[in-house]
Formats: sequence, C-alpha cells, structure tokens
Amino acid sequence: MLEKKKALKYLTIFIAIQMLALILIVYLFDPFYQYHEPYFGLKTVLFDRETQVAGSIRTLPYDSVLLGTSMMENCDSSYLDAQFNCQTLKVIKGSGSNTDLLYYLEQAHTQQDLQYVFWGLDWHALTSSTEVTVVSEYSPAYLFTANPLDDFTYHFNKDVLFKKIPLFLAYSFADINTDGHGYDWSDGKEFGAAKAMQDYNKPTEVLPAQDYTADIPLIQENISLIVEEIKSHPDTEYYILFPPYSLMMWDNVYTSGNGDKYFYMLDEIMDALLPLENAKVYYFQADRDIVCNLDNYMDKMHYTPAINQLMLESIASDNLTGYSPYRVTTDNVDEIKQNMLETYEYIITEGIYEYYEK
Amino acid sequence: MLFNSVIFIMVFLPLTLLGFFSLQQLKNPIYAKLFLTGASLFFYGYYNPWYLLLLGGSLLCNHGCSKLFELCKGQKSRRLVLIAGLFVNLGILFYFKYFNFFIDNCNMLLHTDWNIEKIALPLGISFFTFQQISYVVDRYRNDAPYYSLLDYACFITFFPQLIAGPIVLHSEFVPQLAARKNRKPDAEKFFDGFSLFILGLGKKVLLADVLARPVNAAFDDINIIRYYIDFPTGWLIILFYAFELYFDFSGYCDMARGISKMFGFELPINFDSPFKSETITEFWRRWHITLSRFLTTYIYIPLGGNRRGTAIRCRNTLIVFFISGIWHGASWNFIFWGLFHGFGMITENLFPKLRLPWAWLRKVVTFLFFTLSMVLFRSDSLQTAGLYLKRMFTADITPYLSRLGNSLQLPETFAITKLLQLKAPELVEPFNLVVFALLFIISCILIAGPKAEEWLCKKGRTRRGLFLLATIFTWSLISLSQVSTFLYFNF
Repeated sequence: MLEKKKALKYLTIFIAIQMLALILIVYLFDPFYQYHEPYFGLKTVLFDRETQVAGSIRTLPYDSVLLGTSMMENCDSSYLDAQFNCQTLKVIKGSGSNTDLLYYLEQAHTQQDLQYVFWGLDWHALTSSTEVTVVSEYSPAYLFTANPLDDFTYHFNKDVLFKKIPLFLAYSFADINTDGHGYDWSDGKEFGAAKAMQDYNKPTEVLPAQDYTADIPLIQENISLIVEEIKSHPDTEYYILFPPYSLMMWDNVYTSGNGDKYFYMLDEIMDALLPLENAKVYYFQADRDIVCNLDNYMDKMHYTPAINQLMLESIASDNLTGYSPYRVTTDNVDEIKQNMLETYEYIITEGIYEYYEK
Repeated sequence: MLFNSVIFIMVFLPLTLLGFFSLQQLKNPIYAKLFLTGASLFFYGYYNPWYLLLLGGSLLCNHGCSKLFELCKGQKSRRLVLIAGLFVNLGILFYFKYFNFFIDNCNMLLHTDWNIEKIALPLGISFFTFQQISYVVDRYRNDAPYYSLLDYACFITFFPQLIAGPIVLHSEFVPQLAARKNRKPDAEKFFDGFSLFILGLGKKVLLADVLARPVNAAFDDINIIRYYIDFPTGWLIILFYAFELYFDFSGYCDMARGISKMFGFELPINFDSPFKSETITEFWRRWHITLSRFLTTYIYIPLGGNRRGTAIRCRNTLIVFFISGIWHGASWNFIFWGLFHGFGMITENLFPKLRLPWAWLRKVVTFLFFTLSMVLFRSDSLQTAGLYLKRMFTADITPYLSRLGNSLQLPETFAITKLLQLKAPELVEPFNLVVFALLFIISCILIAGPKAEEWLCKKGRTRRGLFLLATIFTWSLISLSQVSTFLYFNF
C-alpha cells in the first residue's frame, strides 16, 4: 500500500497518461475530419453526414460540391470528377432545409474556390424555415469550429472511441462509403413497387385546394437566398437538379390539396433561376418513365442509385454535347411546365390507379 | 449543474477548490466562506437562476427564525416562532411539490374542474427544506446555537449536498467551517475525496445509467408492459431498477462525500450496504440513513416512538413511512410504496417468530421485498404498477427476454455487435443476453462486496487499484457525452 500522497501522485499520472492516449487516438484517426485527411493510408470514408460534413468541408481537398439531401446521397461523385475534371465533396443534410445547405455551402466557399456546385433542390427546401439549424444548442460546437480548445467532447467521447473510429477503420478496409460513394445508403435497401407502396396509404378523400398565401413570404425568402448565393459567386457554375419524386408523392400533393402551391413554386423558382448566367437547371420530375414506375423507388421519394446516375449522366452529357432532355432554359420552360402539369394530371387520374384501387 | 458533467469535473470543481483554498490562506476566513457560498449558489442556479430566489428566501426566513429564537425568551413566543418557521418551510414544500397533486385529488374527489398550471419542482427542495426544519426545531429545543448568516448560508448551500443530500445536520457541518485544520489543503484528504468521487462517478455513469436503459425501455412504453412483460423479464427489469436506484443514489452520495472531503469537510454516510440487510428495519438503518435519522428524530420520537405500547408504535411507524413515501414524490405510488414498507416493518416487529432460519435467506427475502416495492416506485401511476405486478406473476412467456439485451445498445459492445450482424446475425441476440447477464452479475458482486470506502482502504492505494481508479475516471469521463440526471433530484 502506498502512502496517500504518493497514491495521489500515481493516480494523477495514470489519469494524465490515459487522457493523453485518448487525445492521441482521436487526433490520429480523426473520424469527423476535424484536423486532417486520413493518415496511415486509410481511405476517406464518409458514413455519418451529421458529424462529418462540417469537418470534411474544412479539411478535405475538393474544388466542387455535390449539395443536397438524401435524394442526392447515392450519387457517385467520382463520376462527376471524371466528367467535369474536378474533385467533388459531398455535402449532405438529411431532410435539409435550404438555409442549412446554404450554410454548409458558404463554409465551403470560405475554404475553396469552387468550380462547380451540383445542387439537388427539394421542394420542401422552399418552404423550410430560414433559420440555420445545423449549428444549434443541440449540436456539438466542436464540429463547426476549427478551434481545438472546444474539442474536449470530441476527444473524450465514448461514441467516437467505440463506434465511430471502429466504423471508420472497418469501412476504410472494406471500401464502403469511400471514393464517390460517401454517405451512400443504398446498399442492402429494398427497392420495388411492393416496398415503396408500404410508405403510402392512399387517402380515400381529396381535400379541397389549400390556401397557400401564408407560405408565399417564406417561399420568396428561400428563393431569394438561393438567387443571392448564385449571384454572389459568379465564378462558380451551379447545376441545379430537381429530383424525380414518385407518383405517390404527387398523388399525396393532390389529395392534400397542395397542387396549386407546388405549381406556384415551380413558376417562381424557374423565373428566378433561369436568368442567372452561372446556373443551369435540370428538371426530372416530368419524366413519366421514372416517376410512374414504382420499381424505381423504396418509398414516396427515394429512388434507386440508377436514377441518381441518370441525373448525373444527363448533366454530364449536357456539359459534353450541349444537350440534355432534362435541361430547362428560357426557351423551353413553358413546355416543361406544361409537361409537368400533364404528368400530374395523368398521375392523379390514371397513373396512381395502376398501383392503387380506385 | 450536475456532478456527472464535463463542466463540473473539469472546470467548476477545480476552480472552486483553487479559489477556496487560496482564500483560506487569508487571515479572515470570511472571504473563503463567501466564495464557497457564491460558488454553491452558482452551482444551484446554473440551469435556472430563478430557483435562487426560492433558495435565498427560504434561507433568510429560517435564519430569521433563528435570530428570533435569540430574542424571544418566553416559551409561548418561542413556540410561535417555531410554528411560523414550520409553516413557512412546509408551505413552500407544499406549494412547489404537492399543490398540483392536491388539486388533482380535489378534482377527483369533489368532481371539480380546477385548473392550474403545472408548478415546476425546484431542485433539491425536499433536501434543503428538511435540513432547515431540523435547524429551526433544534433552535427551539435549545439544541442548536445561533449561527451567523454567512455560516448558515454556507451550511445550507454547500453544493455537494445541496441538491440530493445527504441531509446534513448543522451540528455536523458548521463546526467544521470554523476548524483551523480545515484551512490548509490536505493531500491525504484530497486523495480520499478524489478516489471516493471517482467510485461514485463510476457507479452513476458506468452502472446506473446503463442499467437504466432496459428499465426505461420497458417503463416508458405502456404497451411493452401490457403485452411483453412476463415473469422472467418483469423480475429482471425491476431487479435492474433496484440496482439502478442504488448505484445512482449511493453513487451521488459517494461523489458528494468525496467532493466534501476534497474541501476538508466530512459529510455523514448515507448508505451502508443496504442490500446486505436481513430485515426491513435493518434495511432502513442502511438505506438513505440521513432521511431515516431525520424522520426518527423529528417525527417518530416526538410522536412517542415505541414507548407508548404496540398500537401507538405501529401508528407512528405508519405515519413515518407515509411521510417518507410522500417525501419521495407527490403521487399515490410513493404513498403506497411508503406504507408497503411501513406494513412490512410492523409485521416484522409484531411477529418476530416468523424470522427465517438462515441469514442468507433473510437477506434474499428482504432484497426481494425491496425490489417488489420498486414497481410502485418506478411506475408513473397506480394503474401502471398494477399492470406491471400482474404481468410479473403471469404464466405467459413472451419473446421479450431475447430482445431485452438489445435495449442496452452499449458503445463498448458496438464493434462486436456490428461484426456479428455481418458474419453471424443469429448470434446477436445471445451476445446481447450475455452482456445483460454480465451486467447483472457485476451488479450482484458490487452490492455483495465491500463498500466504496472499505475497498479504497484495502486496495485503493495499490498500483493496480490506482490504475483501476484512473480507468474508471477516464471511462466515466468519456461516457459523459450523453449526460443524464440523478433520480433523487426529483425528490
């Protein structure tokens, strides 16, 4: 038995050694990319968007950004790298509001001179709150600052040590969520009409058209923020993609009485985006071969990686040949809107009944 | 502020210790006391500064009573002061803790529809109120001297015991404030305190919080109780809750005592291996000792204790346990929980011949009695408790046992679970059950083993023991990324 004074000394030394070891382990593996790119020949693994996006923007090399929600997560960004001769970082926020995505994008602009922004624009982004939610009292502050002094909870964190680092190592060795497949969640997921239909109980009643005038200021504010972002970075080229939701989503829009609101948003966003010189717009929602075939989906909105690839190929082909059937310009915008209206009419009168009883 | 938080362990505690001992070096101890009181108030008001008004008001009223006892010499006037002091203390407690309960019961009995906003329960109100009642009563009985406002404030607000006890008597604490030997930092006391704090932290963070997972998973969803709880899972979960409550509260008390020792003060022991008790009477001499002491000194004995025959003794016991029950919370569950223990103790005392022949069996029966009472303690209503008890004794067997291990979801076992999910998914549930069983065995070993301080005396100063202590500290520290509160904060 040691004397108490000596015991205290030993105890202090043991604690100090253990704490230093923890600091070192977390620093070297750094699964949230707070300090550096992976060491020891490990691959860059992106498997947890909530904790990795902020750090990856600060410390990983890139000159372009693939921005969006889970609708864009399964895109193979290495395809974009090859086609556009760039290095793309995926910046994803699950169910992300417009402002959260813009917050991330602004961080990326402060770190790099961005060549391209490939932006999957969801409809709900236009009606989302314009307050940043990713940085809040509920999110760990250390994720969003480069200041090592607030990293205590990163280094002394059981989840980081026992969950994130082992996952990071395992995924790196197994080549999961690496290269262009960061955050890709499609592996092991079931797609097909039967699975997708589990997500939607078609209402038997159709609500009357809802009054959306109260939403207009928010929609306009979100559109202004997007326009302001694009205008304030004239050297960056923006590819804006409207991802194709399934016919179930459009039927849901109809039965909830929100059709007019969606077409209002379509008019407004197109009017705002098309005049911008550094923005190209691609609209996939009117393609009946995609949206009316539920085998492409796992729920109302999420589609197979093949659809992600189709979207990327479409913009790459436009880049290469100057043509994409999905490209929207001031010349064809009315035709595309008309197509969408007809598709919508078709879905609510016929398309949906190929899967659901009348 | 919570003891089990990074801000407390890494910032508040070191800075307060530093400030306190620096100021203790000055000739006049008033600065150190002022600093300690200020730090305690900061600790208390960290989450809700408005509670400081209540604490301050209560403290000033009771100190005012003490002053009045100094001025009033006649028995009548002293009695009036006592009544006024008790009225203020019990009034505050009634309003903040029991008013909602009172209104709900009035509505139920009188078929009225009085609606009042839910009154938030200020932290530790039951603890500091009881502490002050004891001082006022002792002053009335001339068993306590008059203390200066600063000494009194320092005693009542002393942060290690402010929120969840132990319920310290003035005579145990205030004299220590004046003792000269406490004015210099003492490495030996610091080691005793720090090592006890570490063991308490480990009990809370590494055991109680983990045991809470399957317990909360069951009790937070009435449908799980209704459809899934069966004989084995019902008993296992409630056993886990008994362990959780013990590790949670005794862990808190170890931390409180440890911190006090670091400051050079001794607080009374609140737990003395209660699960080794052979009778319910003994259990209450070992569990929450300072509450039992308060209830005995200020309620049981003034009512006549056990001096006026069996009937009065039984009545007094029931009154004390009724108060103990309602002290734990404003609900019928707690009242019935208290009375259950009261009846248990009365039965034990009335029929001593029922005493079982073997000590180990008596210990097991006492433990099971306590565990069974935990159903009332943990349930959010009498209906839920009834349903749970019914399911505990049902003959149906549901598949919930195999799923119980999943509710643990420990980061420590994450890598193995993930690997099993990929390579041998059929082994995931058995593996989780093994972890569950391990946790149960560890809990049993700890409740049957030596107390924290005994272990520290025997093995705490060997190199291996010190390494273990350091590991518990570091392991607890990295477990604080998800902070939980202490169960006894609600009482």
